[in-house]
Amino acid sequence: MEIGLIAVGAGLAVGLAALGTGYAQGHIGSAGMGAVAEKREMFSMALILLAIPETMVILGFAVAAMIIFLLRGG
Amino acid sequence: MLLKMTRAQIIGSRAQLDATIAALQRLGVLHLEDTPRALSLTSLALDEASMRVQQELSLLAARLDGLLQLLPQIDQPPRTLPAAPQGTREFVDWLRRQLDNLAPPLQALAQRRDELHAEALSLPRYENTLRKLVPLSVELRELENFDTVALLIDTAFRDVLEMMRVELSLITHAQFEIIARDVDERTTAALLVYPRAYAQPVQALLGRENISQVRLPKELAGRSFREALTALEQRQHAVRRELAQLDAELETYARTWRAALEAWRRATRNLVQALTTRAQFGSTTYTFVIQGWVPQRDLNRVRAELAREVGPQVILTTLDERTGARDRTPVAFSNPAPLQPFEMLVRLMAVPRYGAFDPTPLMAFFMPLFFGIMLGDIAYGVLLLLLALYVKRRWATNEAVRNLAQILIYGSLWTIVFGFLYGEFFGTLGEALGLAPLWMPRGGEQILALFVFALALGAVQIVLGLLLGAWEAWREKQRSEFLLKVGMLIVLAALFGVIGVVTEFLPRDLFTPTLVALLIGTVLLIVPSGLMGLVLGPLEMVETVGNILSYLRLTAIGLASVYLALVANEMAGLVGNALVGAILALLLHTLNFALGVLSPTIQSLRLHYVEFFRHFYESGGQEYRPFKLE
Repeated sequence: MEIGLIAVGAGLAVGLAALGTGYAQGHIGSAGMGAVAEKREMFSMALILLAIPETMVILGFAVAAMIIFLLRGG
Repeated sequence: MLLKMTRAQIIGSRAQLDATIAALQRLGVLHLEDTPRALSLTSLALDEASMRVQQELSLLAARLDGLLQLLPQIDQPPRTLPAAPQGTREFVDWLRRQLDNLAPPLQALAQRRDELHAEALSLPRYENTLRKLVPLSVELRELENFDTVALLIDTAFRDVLEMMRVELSLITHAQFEIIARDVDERTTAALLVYPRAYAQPVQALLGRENISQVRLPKELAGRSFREALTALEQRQHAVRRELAQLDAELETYARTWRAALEAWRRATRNLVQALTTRAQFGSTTYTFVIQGWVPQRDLNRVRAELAREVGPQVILTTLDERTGARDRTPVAFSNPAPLQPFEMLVRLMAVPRYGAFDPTPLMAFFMPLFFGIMLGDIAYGVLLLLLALYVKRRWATNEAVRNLAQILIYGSLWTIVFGFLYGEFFGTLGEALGLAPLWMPRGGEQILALFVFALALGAVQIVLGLLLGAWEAWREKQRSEFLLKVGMLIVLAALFGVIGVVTEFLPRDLFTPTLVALLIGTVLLIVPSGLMGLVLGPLEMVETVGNILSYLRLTAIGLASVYLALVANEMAGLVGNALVGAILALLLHTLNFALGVLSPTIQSLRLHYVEFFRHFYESGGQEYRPFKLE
C-alpha cells in the first residue's frame, strides 16, 4: 500500500510538473513559430526560449526521484 | 577575448582618394563610421559621372545575380579567367559587352527549361484524367456532327447526372447520350454526347450548374482518348529527354562561365561598395577625411601600407575615445583557433559590449563538458565523433556547420570520457559486456549522488558568474551593482555553509557565523536598491538559487537517455527472433542517439544563456564589419 502511495506521489510530482511545462511550451512554441515565420533568424532564439520552462519538469523529476529513494529508504 | 580597437582618422589629398580607398579595401581592417560634419567639412558626394557608373555597376551586379541563378552549382578547380580591363569605366563597358553576348542564349535555354518543367508537371495530370476516361472507350472520330464532353464528378454528387438527363432531354429533344461509370472510389467519369447544333445551350447548362469539363491540351483535342493517352505518354518521354539535354547544356555553360561570372560579380560589388562608402567621408576643397575603427594590433600595418601604396602625404592619426564612444566601438573576437567555434554561440545570444568580458573560453570549456555529462556513453560518443568528423569534412566551406561539427567533436570526447566514468556502452549493454564504471553507474540509488554532483557544478558556474559580474562592476565603477554581486556571493557562501552544517559535513560551531554571513549578504542585496530592495533582494536570492537548481537537468536529461537505451536493450532481448530484436534495438538506439545529441546541445546552451550569462554578460555591442574586398 505504502509503496503504491509513494509511486502515486512520485508520478504526481513529475506528471503535474510536466503538464505545467507542456502548457508553457505550447504558448512559447506557437509564439516562437510565429516569430520564425516572420524572421527566419529567430529560430535559434525560439528554440532556446522553448527550452526554458523545462526547468519545471526537471525539478518535478528531481522531487519524484527523492520521493522514491528517500521515502522508500526510510 | 575581444580585440582592442583604436579610433583612426585618415587625411589626404583629394587626388589620392581613389588609391586610398582601394588600399583600405584591400587591407580590409577599417570599420568605417560617418565622419562628423565639422564646420569646414562637407560630405564627399559623388559627381554625376561617378553616380552613373555606380548605377551601371549595380545593374550589372543584378544581371550577374540573375545569370548565376540560371546556372547549376558545380564543383570545379579554380582556373584562370579572361582578363578584365583595369579602369572602372572600361570595366563597366567591357562587362556589359560580355553579358550582352552571354545572356541571350543562356536566358533562352533557361526559358525553354522552365516551359518544359511546367509541361512536365501538367502532363501527368492529363494522363490521370485520360486513364479514368479510357474505360468509357468512345471513339470520338466516329461521331461527326456530334460534340463530346468528358466530365469527372465526385461520386458523392452522382445525382447531378440524373438532373442533367432531364435538362438535356428538354434541350436536345432527347438526342443525347450520357455514359457514366465509377472509375475509382471517389470519382465517376461521364461522357456526354450531343448534336453539335445544341452546343451553345448545353455549354450554358454546364456553366450554370457549375459542372467542370475535362479539357485536354490543344494538340490532343479531337483525338480519341486512347490515342490521346498514347500521344501524352510519348510527349512525356520527349519532355524528359529534352530536359536532360537542356540540363547538360546548362552544365556545360556553368563549367565554362560560372567561375568567371562569380569573379565579375565580386569585382562589381567591390566597386559599388567603394563608391557607396564615399558618402561616409568628409572633405574640403582639396582634402578628404576618413574615420573609423582599426584593431590596435593592425594600426601600424595600416599606416605602413598606406604610406607604401598611396604615399607619405596620406596621414593616419589616432583619435581619443570620446565619451559614449564605447557604445559605438565595433566588437571583434580574438580567440585561439580551437575556441573560435564557440564565438558563434556567444554571438547567437548577443554581441557583447566593447570592453566587456568575453565568455567564449569559459563556454568552450563548460559547454562540451555539460554535453558529455548528459550523454555520457562510450558508443554514442564514438558514433558522434565519427559523424561530426564526417560533417566537418563534407561541409568544410560552410562556416556555421563546420563550427557546429567542431563543437560536437569536443562534446563527443567528453561523452566518451563520461561513458567510461559511468560504465555505459549503448546504455546498459556495457554492463552486460563486463564494462565496469570508473566512477559510478547512472540509475538506481546513485541518482541522488548524481543530483548533488550536478548541483555542485551549477554552484561552481554560478559563483564564477557572480565573481565575473562583481569584477566587471568594479572595473566599471558601478557601486550598487558591485554590492549586489558581493551580497549574493556572501548569501550563497552562507547557504552552502548552512547545508554543510545541517548535513554534518561542517562542525556545528560554524552555524552561528554562517547565519551572520547570511544576514550581512541579505542586507547588501537590499540596501543598493533602497525600498525596492526589500522586494528585489529576496527575489534575486530565489532566482539565483533557482539558477543552481536548474543544473539538475545535467542528471535528469542523462537519465532519460540511459532509460531509453535500457528499454532498447531490454526490448531486443524480449523479442523471440534475434534479427527482429536487433532491428528494434537499432531503431530505438538511433532515436535515443538523435535525442541524445539534440537535447544536451540545447540544454547546455540554455544553462549558459539563461543561468550563467545573466550574472555578468554585458550585451549591446555592434559587430565589427571592416570595409574589405568580397
